[in-house]
Amino acid sequence: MRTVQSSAQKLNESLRLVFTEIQDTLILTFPPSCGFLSQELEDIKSSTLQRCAQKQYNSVIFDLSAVELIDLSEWEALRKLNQSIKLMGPDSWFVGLRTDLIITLISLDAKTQDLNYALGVEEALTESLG
Amino acid sequence: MMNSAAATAFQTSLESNYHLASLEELLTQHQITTQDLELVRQYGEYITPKFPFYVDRFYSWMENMPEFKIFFKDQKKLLRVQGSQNRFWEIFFEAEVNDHYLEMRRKLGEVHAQIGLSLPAYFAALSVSQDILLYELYDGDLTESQRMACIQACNKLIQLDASLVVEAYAKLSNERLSEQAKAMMEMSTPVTSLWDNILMLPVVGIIDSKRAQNMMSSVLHKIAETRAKVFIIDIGGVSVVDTAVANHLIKITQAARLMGCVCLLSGVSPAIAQTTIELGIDVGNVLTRATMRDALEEAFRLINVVVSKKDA
Repeated sequence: MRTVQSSAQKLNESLRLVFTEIQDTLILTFPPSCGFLSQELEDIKSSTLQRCAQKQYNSVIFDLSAVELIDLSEWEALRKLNQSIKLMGPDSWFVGLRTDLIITLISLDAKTQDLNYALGVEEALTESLG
Repeated sequence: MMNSAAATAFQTSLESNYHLASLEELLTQHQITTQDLELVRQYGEYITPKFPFYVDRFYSWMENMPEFKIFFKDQKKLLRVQGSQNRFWEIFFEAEVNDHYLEMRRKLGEVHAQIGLSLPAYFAALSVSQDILLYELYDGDLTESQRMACIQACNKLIQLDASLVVEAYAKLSNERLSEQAKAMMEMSTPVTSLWDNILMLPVVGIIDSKRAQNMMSSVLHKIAETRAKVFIIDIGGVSVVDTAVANHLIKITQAARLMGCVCLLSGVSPAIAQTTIELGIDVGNVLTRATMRDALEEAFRLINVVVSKKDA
């Protein structure tokens, strides 16, 4: 029982959000299935905003290239986080959205306006730098 | 009331586009019993020797039909068809209804569909044949009730034949239609690369939701493939722009935006511009241009490309 629990915990941990810093840029790499609980989402929000407050980032990049599935409430949460970051100064980007995911978002009438998007991390970096 | 087998068959035919009924299903549907088949054979023994008269009589009717001149210009072909028609009725009166029989009848329907013989012409010919074989040529000594039973049995089998021909005919036409629809669908989204980082999709005709979905996915895949920065959709060839079409187009531009690609709509004619505003469609922040030329110019500006004349 214990091994099952610990391996489940390990799996959970491997599916967590990853923060990467490159110079003045913060990259958030999301796991394949977002499926965050509301508490987890709160943690992500606060820790990201904390990081932004501690260090002056030029841009924050949300890398969603691994994400296969997302629902409206998760998208809404990410969108709000993205906009809150913008209020604190850094440019924020959504990158690597998969075509199926985009089709789902559009057909769900998700709010997608007034955000920055790029095809990949590289494009976002070039655009934010240049 | 449909019996359960027929109900299942009906259900299946709704699910898969075309389900060909099995032998048992058909016999049950048409209420053909072994006794009926025996009666057909009995009548066949009597009528088969009279086939030469039937062929004469049938073709004297056929000569006056418009299809005759089209299909039987040459004498050899006529003889061949007469031969196979003879064979057709021989098999009919042998009344060995099995899978092979069904297959032959369906094949006939397919041939009719392929040569373009219309169903009304087929039914007219069938009705004339029925008349000649069952009434005109009869001068036997069956009792009235025996004869009526034979005619009824023959009629049932003729109906079964007709339904097989129609089924095969419809199946073939349906296949052709779906092939055409598929071809149209493939032709309808010719996304081309116009320049480095610039893609273009000319849209011609009518945009329905199926096509819009198709357009969206091919646009997105092409953007992912070419990593384009600007996408021009030319709607100059779109005949009608109503709220639904405008909505589809706005959704495509939004989707492209999510891949970091700017979408430009070109070919917005005065009429389209006017109806869009009169319908109160909110185009939001979709970039639009009147002509392809303007759109291309804007695209160059967006990707910082300067195109200039070479100095003479």
